[in-house]
Amino acid sequence: MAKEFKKVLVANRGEIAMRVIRTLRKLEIPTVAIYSDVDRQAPHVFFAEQAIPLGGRTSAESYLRIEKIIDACRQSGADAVHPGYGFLSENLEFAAALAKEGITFIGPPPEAIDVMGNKLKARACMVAAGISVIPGSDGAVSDPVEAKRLAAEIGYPIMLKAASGGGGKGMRVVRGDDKMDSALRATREEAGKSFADDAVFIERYVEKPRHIEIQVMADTHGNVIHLGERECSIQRRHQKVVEECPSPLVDDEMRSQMGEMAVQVARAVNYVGAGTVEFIVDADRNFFFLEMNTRLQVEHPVTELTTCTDLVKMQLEVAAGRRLKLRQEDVQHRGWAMEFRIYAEDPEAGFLPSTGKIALLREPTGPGIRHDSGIYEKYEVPIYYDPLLSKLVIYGENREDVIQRARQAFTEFVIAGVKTNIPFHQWILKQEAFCRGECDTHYIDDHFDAKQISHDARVPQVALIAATLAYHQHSRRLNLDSVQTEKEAQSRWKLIGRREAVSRRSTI
Amino acid sequence: MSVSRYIVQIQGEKREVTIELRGQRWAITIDGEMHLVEQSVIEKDEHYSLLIEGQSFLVDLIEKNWQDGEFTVNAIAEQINVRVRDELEAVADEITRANVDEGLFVLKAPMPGIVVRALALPGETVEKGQGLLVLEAMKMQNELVTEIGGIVQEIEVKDGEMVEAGATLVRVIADDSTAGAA
Repeated sequence: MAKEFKKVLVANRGEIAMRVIRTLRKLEIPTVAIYSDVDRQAPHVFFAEQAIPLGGRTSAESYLRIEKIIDACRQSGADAVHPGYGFLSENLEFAAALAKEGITFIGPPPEAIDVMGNKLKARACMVAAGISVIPGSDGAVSDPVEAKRLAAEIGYPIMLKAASGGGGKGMRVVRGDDKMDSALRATREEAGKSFADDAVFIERYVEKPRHIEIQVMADTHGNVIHLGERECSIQRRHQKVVEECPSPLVDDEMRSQMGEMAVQVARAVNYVGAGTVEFIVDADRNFFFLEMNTRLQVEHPVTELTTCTDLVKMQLEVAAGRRLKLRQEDVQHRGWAMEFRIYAEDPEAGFLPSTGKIALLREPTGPGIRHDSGIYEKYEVPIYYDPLLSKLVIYGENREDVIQRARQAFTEFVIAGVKTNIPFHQWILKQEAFCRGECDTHYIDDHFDAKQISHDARVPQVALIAATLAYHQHSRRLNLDSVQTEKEAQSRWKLIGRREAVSRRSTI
Repeated sequence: MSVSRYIVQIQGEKREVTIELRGQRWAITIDGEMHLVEQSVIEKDEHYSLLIEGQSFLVDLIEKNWQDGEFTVNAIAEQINVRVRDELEAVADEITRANVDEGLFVLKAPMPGIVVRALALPGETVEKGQGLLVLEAMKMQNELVTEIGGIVQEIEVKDGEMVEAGATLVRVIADDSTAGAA
């Protein structure tokens, strides 16, 4: 039975909270925001109809506190929660706690989160379902002798991976037996410290890999569709920076093969809702299951633009028990889209994070430009959370058109007061390899050089003229003000004298 | 009309600038080179449209300290720092600068953050480029380094302390022997 949500609480902050609330407002569903002590002036608080304080500053004290969020649901009468991405979006305990309260979690069933949350479990489940995974060990490896035996079987180079790892942490490439002992020890130690789980497994290391993922959507009636791929190979230290749809590497045949496999993955875990199946693609265009993200992705807008869908709306519909309106054969792909993540970091100072007040914000506009933003002018960017400020998403008829539009859009885009990676995006948009669509996941780490960031040679002169002129006028005004006050003081006496003379005459 | 003279510092260079109003336009010379500028004030002390020899620019004063003539200016979607001094102020600046001890490096917080730990102890000898302190901001740990070789004089913050941007963290005094080696 399909239900209507009376009120939805958005358990997130920043641009994704804004994005989710936007669809809820479109559907005229009342919204509830939650916020930490430092987020009282965050834009999602203004954008929701209702806002409930969680207290605390850090994520651990606020957006990760399950009992506080359940309290906020009770207090506001919200009957569903959208978790966004990050924070509690893939947290088993949170999904279970909501279910216990009779509140709908707008996300997959807990079982799917559980399996996909652990790389070893996921791998085993996929192997059982006949999905192609990267050749590797069937379980955790702790003995270096066993590790070397497996490595010989798989073939060097291999990758050591933490079973509970993520976000590029807990991974190490090993190129020979001599490095295995120390690498295994270091990876297990790091995994134990970072993820409270020192289980490590072995996979073949794919050289020059591309990272391509498939968007899937599933309802509670057994329908699963895919909405095509996203190319996410532009990464800096395993963090995605630019994503696009379609992928320059993927043709129709490869798309339908990957799509079908992604649907199979989703079915293997009885998936419901929006999910993303990530694949590693090698130089010969062979693809292997990497992992499944059981949430809405940061980069979902590029899929929305090229398939003309609202993924948040679809999430709400399937969470309410409705059937997917879209059948696989109805999914159409049109044009090209690219997303540029705008981070508060300084590419010219080793990508050092930057915080402070947004002194000036001038957003690009025009055809094919979408800006999913979590900031506004005069907003103080807090130090406690993710440095993602916004996402500039560009749509156009083809890849070349998108690149031209993007270059233009960045010349309009001003965020001042905090440093951003906008100059980095302007750099990547000029790289020939990028324009040809040939970048693998190591491209930035191998090629980016801060010295190559170009600056407009006219800037110093224009700024010098503007500042000197303003300073000159400001000091003239100060001098003039003091002169004028004297003059005014004199003229007021005259005025009073005249008035008195007039009133005297009129009384006669 | 009278001509006003300024010394303007930009990107580490000093420029001599003169300003004179000629009818509707400003005649501005930079190191002797003249530019005719038409200025339209969008908001006083904030936003201006400039036509410099007919070339059109929208310019914003983002940060301004009128007292010291220090500005952060946004032009052509880039931000840059400018310091404007009249002739008398420029002379006064020179005198102050000469008094600053050049053998001292003061590490300041480049952004607000939380001090994770100090990497050197007071009295310890450090080389140029060596890490002094780890500062955490936005879930990222950043190692801040000394720009001179010398001896750590003082660590002004404690582990776990929250600091504002610009807060003094560590002082390093140049050591003649290490300075010579570097």
